[in-house]
Amino acid sequence: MNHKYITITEGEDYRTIATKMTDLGYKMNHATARNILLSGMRKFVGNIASELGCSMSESDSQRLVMRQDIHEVIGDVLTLCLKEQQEELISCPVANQQ
Amino acid sequence: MNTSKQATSSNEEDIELFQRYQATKVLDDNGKILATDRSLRNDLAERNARLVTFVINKFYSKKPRHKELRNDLLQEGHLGLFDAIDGFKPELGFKFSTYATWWIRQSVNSYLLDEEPLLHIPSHIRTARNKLFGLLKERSMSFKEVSKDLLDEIGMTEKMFASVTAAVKTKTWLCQSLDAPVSSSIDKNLRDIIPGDDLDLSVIVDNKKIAEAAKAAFEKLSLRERCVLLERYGIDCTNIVQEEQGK
Repeated sequence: MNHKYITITEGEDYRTIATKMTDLGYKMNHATARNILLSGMRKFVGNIASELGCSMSESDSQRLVMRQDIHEVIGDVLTLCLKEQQEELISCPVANQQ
Repeated sequence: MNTSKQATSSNEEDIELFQRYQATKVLDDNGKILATDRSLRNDLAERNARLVTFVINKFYSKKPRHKELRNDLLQEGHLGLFDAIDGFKPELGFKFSTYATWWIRQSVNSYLLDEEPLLHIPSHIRTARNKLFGLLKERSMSFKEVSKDLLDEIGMTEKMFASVTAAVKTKTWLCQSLDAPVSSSIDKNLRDIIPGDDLDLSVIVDNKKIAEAAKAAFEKLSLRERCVLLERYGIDCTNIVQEEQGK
């Protein structure tokens, strides 16, 4: 079964995302927000696989991003990624001086 | 409580009040007070409230910590004063202030000892430790020289001595809370930087690898995609957009 909408436990819904993005200058409605999110996730998953030295077909990444657990995991990975960035900033003496 | 305007107590009036107060006490078989005249007790406490301020000013006004806790110490002192009123026996002929000062100091000291160390040492162990150290000081001996004869002399059991030894070895001033911040500039607690046993090195390395790959993968996305992805997980992307627009 091909799901278009996936619910996650924490985060924003597509309408809120669309409103925020419109405020930031990227005019869109909720369906566009969903399409951008899904295509972005496909690219993100594919990019991670290639960075880790694996190959992933378009259909595999398409199948993955339609799963709710993958959405939850991507949230964790994004948090980890941003946390790493923040830790780099803390440990960087130049950033601390600024 | 404003003590400056309260009436000072004269000795005869106090004795009479204490005698009246004693007559109102209802005691059980063990001498424990079951009921008293509360209003009379409050009256006595108000008449002697300045004594608490006097004791706090005399004994607890030098250290910065005591100055910080002044209001708390005054409250504890008043609790000690109530104990003194309950226990005072005017027929023995001593002045109430002499008797109450010890109760006030005991109450304040007990509060300070309970408040200060991070690791709590029970009061009966503290009392035994102080008793032992007092005796050692008197005889110019060290803690290592404590013998069984000495313990017998002060009536301390070996079990109690083991507890006292543990209390002596506990360097409470070296303890730090896990929730204490690492420094004023870094918004992290000790808990965040102390390595845990539950995460092994391979998991940390894997997490680091994944984070690096995710970072590189994320940077390859367009700004619009990055923003939608972040917003989906409730992460504000206003700063990222502003930074990109600034470039």
